[in-house]
Amino acid sequence: MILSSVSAYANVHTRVRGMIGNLLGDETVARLSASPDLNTLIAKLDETSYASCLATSEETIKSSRRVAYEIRKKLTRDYKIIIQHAPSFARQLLIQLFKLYEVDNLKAVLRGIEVGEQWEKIRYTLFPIEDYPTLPFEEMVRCGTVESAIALLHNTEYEADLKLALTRFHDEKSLFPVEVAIDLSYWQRLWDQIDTLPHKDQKITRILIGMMVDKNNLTWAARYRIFHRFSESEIINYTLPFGYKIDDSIIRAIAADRDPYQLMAEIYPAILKEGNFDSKNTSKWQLNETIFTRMIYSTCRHAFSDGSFTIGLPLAYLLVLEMEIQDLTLLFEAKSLEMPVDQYAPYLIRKLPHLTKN
Amino acid sequence: MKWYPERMTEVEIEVPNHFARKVTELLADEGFLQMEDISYLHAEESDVRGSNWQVKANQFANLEKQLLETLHSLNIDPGQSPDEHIKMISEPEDIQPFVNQLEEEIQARSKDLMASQQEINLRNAYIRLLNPLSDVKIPFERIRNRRYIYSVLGTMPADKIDRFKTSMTNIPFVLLELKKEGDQAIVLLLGSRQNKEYLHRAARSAYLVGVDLPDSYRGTPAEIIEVLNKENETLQSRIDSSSQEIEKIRDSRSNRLRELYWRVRYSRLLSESLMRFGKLKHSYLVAGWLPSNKLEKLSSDLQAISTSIIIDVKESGMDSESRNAPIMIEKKGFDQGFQKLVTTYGMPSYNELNPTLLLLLTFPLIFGAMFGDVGHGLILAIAGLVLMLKKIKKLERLASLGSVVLLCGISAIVFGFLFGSIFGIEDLLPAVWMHPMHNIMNLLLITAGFGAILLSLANILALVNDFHQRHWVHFFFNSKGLAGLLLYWSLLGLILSLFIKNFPVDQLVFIVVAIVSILMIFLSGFLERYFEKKRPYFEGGFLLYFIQSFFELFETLIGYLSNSLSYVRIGAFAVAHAGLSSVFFILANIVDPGKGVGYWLIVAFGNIFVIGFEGMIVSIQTLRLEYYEFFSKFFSGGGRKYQPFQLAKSNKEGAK
Repeated sequence: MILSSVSAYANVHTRVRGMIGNLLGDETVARLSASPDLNTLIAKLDETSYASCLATSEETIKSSRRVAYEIRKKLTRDYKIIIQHAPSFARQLLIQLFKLYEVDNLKAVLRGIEVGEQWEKIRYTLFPIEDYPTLPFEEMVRCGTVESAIALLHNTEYEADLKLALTRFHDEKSLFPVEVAIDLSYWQRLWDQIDTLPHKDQKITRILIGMMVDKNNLTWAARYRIFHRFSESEIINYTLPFGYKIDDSIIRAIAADRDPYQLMAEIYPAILKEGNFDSKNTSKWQLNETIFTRMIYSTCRHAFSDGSFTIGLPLAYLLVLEMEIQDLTLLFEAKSLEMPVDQYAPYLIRKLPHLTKN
Repeated sequence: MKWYPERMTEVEIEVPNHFARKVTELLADEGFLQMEDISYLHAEESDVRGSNWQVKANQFANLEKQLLETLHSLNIDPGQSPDEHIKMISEPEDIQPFVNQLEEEIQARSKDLMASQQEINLRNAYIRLLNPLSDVKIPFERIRNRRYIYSVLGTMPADKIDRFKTSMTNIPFVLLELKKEGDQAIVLLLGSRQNKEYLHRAARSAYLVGVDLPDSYRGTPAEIIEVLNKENETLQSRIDSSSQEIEKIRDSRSNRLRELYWRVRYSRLLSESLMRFGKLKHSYLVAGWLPSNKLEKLSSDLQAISTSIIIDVKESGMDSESRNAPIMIEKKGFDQGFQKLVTTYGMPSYNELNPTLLLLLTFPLIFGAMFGDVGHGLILAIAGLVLMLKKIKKLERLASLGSVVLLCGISAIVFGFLFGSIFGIEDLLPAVWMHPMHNIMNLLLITAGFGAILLSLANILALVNDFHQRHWVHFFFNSKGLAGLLLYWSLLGLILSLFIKNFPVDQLVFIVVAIVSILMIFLSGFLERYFEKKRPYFEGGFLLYFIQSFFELFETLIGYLSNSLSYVRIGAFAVAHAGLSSVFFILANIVDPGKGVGYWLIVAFGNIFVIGFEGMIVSIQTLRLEYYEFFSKFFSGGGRKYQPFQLAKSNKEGAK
């Protein structure tokens, strides 16, 4: 059993170990953060493993959005390599996980269509799926209406959910039910995919992906209660019935006006190490989301030192890389807006070294 | 089948403005002039004229679209062009009113038809929802409009039912699952009217879509279903009558519509071609290529339109300047498949030798030598014949390759007799020449010799091409020219003289010729620049030239060696073919030594495997030898296909 998992994962683990070496070190992140402007930041990033992504971008394009688009290609390429070298039984899960970006793109495209944006404007807000087969986003945008764009998704895994949500879109003139239907159904498919893995892989995957689901459920429940003022029944119907530690009783408690972040700290005491929740000020929910993400980041980092041959290492690497790119994207935005470090640092998933010391 | 492409002539035709339309119609009708786009040539005021044709082309494009939609809505296939005489430009204004009127007639009926269909669909949805309740004897209005009860009848995703029930733990409700249809369920939600808002929002969040049956429908569900069915019958009769009317229109107008469609389509294509003409102040300029033997006909036809039309003829030579001339390749004939193999490598240039005939001779020869077996060859030959005769509809697209397969099969049969092999049995037929398995070294040496002959032939063909193109430096000094050929032969001679005692030519002769050839190749770069008067003669300095030439020479020598050895694979595959077949006989003997059914099953499977798998590998190897060893020495391709201006006769053909 052990031998079979070693032979199945040896190849992909060797590659992932190499990739981990390319992740940005704390000092590098601090150096990037110390850049006075966006151009300097890009120049510094050009000396890192992201250089290959930046080389492809046109020299004249220096907007934060465009640079963020280019560096996300690293994630796509690493996904591709990992999927290619992963054992066949793990490949479908990784492909399904990668589809998260397709789901994000789909939502962004529908939003773009609704406000009448042109494809040229929308394309760089999307995640670069590159040569992976994906949905006909450009054609969808060119259709001009949400209905005709959705009609193009005939025979895709999204068709049934979108058809269902379309009736509500007509009635409410809002993409909210459409987006919720896409999200819920995506996470359900991903969660179901975990059942196809060997037992050892299931265990670590339920922790890592389960924590992501918990974060989503918590964020959604908090938002539904705070911003949408939804009823208990609506909050439950719009959240997921699974996850790592969060269950319906927590969602019900949030719906019944319990502080979501206080509840979170009770379930995940480790979260308190990552930062202080601001439970009084509900407008700071984004900061609290960052604190939760930091906890996932720590868990993933911890998985790097686990020597067992499971899907855990590649999965943890991909999640960490995504978080690194999220941080870089935040830095691009901050530098282009000339924000002072103390304003954006609390929202970085990785704590900056000097701020940690303080 | 010709060694060189059809002779082409370049013409420029100056057409006075008022004959432009007639000339365009004539060119389209004759269909042998490949037009060049010279619309960039225009006099000052001609922009207006150009835009006139642009406007017309747009009008015709719109009309074509309109007509096509009408044809589709009437379910009429545009088919083929009905009449040759409609290849002339019409006036859009003459056609537009008829098209509009017809469109109006059809649209009114189509709209009615669609509206009725929608009504039927809606009623069917009501029936679908009410069907599970058909046994309930209570009037439906009493179920849904209760004073204290709130109810929603509708559909929801079946997998959301449990989640919905979980979400409603604090509110009293009843959810009746009436029927499951795929991943959807027909449900009836009942709850207190006091909680109406809560229930409504909860149902909505579970994607429960309620159906609002109009209040006018009263009675028990069964009674309502009956009413709905009756309404559907009335609607269906309306649809039938609209359909009949559309049918009538189709019967009476289909011929006229088809004719109009093709008239408009040709008018659009002709207008578009007029846009590509050059424009002078009082005339149009048409430029293009046509086969030289058609020139006389074109001239006389143009003169018949008007003597004021001027034709300027430029005969193309075989020099390098004529490379731009398009290449006319016959699509029909036995060599079609071989022609395809050549064009896959590259379209021959105008002044370049077309290697199709050579391929027709060498491809089956090489294939047969590698695949020599009477039985296997026979099967291939039959397969080739079947392809050629287009007996199997699904394989019709491969018909052109039938001749290739047939010749390869025949060649394999011939080599099968030479090698004494039939269906892998090596001891049934006497070998007319030799058994590959027993003469491996001889076979390899013979095939290496055959390779040397083919490579020499390729070099000679390169010389012929250089001669035709008057590329003298290449002819004498290039590594693929005379110097290269002499070098190759002298090296071959040297090797032969080392192994053959009393070789008639002295080794010194070969050494001298080789050194002279090497010097010639070494100087080719310099001489090319010298004769073309390009300075500096040594590009990048003498040292760089020296290093480059040295390595090029080295590459040439290695190339000759590796290319010659490549042909050894012909012998190797001939041996492998016999060897692989014998493996299946050994296996069959192990499985069934008594030579029963098992034995023959394995032999049959083995033969199928050899024909399919090895046949494919041998084809690839043959193609590889042809492309990389043979063609690369003399054939560079890069020509462009001759595509004369013609009007397609059917939509599938597309406009050319």
